[in-house]
Amino acid sequence: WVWSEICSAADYKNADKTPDQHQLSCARSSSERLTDKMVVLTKEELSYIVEIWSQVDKKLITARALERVFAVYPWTTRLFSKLNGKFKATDIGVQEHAAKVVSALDIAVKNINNINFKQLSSDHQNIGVDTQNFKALGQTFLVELALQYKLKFTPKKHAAAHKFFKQVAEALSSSYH
Amino acid sequence: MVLSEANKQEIHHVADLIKSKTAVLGADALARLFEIHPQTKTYFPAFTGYDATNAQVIAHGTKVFDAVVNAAGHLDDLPHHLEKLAKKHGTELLVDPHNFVLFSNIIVVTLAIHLPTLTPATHTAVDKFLEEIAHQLSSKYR
Repeated sequence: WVWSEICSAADYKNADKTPDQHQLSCARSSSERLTDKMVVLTKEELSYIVEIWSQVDKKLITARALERVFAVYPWTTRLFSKLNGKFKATDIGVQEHAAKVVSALDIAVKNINNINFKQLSSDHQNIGVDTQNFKALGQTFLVELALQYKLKFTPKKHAAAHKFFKQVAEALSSSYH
Repeated sequence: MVLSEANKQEIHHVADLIKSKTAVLGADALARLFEIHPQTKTYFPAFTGYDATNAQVIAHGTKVFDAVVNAAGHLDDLPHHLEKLAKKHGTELLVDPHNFVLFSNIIVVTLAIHLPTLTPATHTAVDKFLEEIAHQLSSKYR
């Protein structure tokens, strides 16, 4: 990001500063600014996510979401050549990756609005994962939830889940540089 | 973007399933769009409400889904079929094209809710179809 994107010249706090002081002030508050931009779940949304995560068969739904992301967005298989084209939910490679994703989501659900994936994010960058993949997997998770809950997956619950997976994607992208 | 014969079959099948339910599905999809991406409401300032029971939401949702069903009958000439709508969106409505992508993802979730199933193969075909519609609708802006 460019400092000017997060700091507007019209910002009243900076009106009395010189351009250099203004830039410094923006850079210092940049981490707060980035947090301002990030999605935040309400108490109601948070409790829905906690509830839903305790209800679903985590490994199953995650493996299915992975199968779906590999099928619908085939470019997401880019770094999974070791799976040898075996991308079904029941295939061992997908099951293994699902287990890792479940562990991470367990942590995310326990730390909603304060997810620290700095290390996990770095690991993904080192592997070479495009952050767009996290959004794609978020979308296929939503589809799996919709398939399971049907009309019980109301617009408000859909919105809560959308925000949660957006937060997870943001956290996984947070260390990229 | 090329739709395979298998893709086309899937799309025809889905269109058949939804053609009698465009009001229910359209209203649901639109309500979800407004809930998840509140900025999309700015295109409908005259609406008295933004949930699926609102008459205006139902009317507009129906219009959109009827258009999607119609487009499914023109898979071999989508650019020509959608040209009028593309011009309307690009010169008159001026909807930010990014919204077509947001709405497409929500339409997929809506289908997953209302259809008996949505296999990865069907999902892929629908996703490609909606992507092509979005691409066509975005083509007359500049």
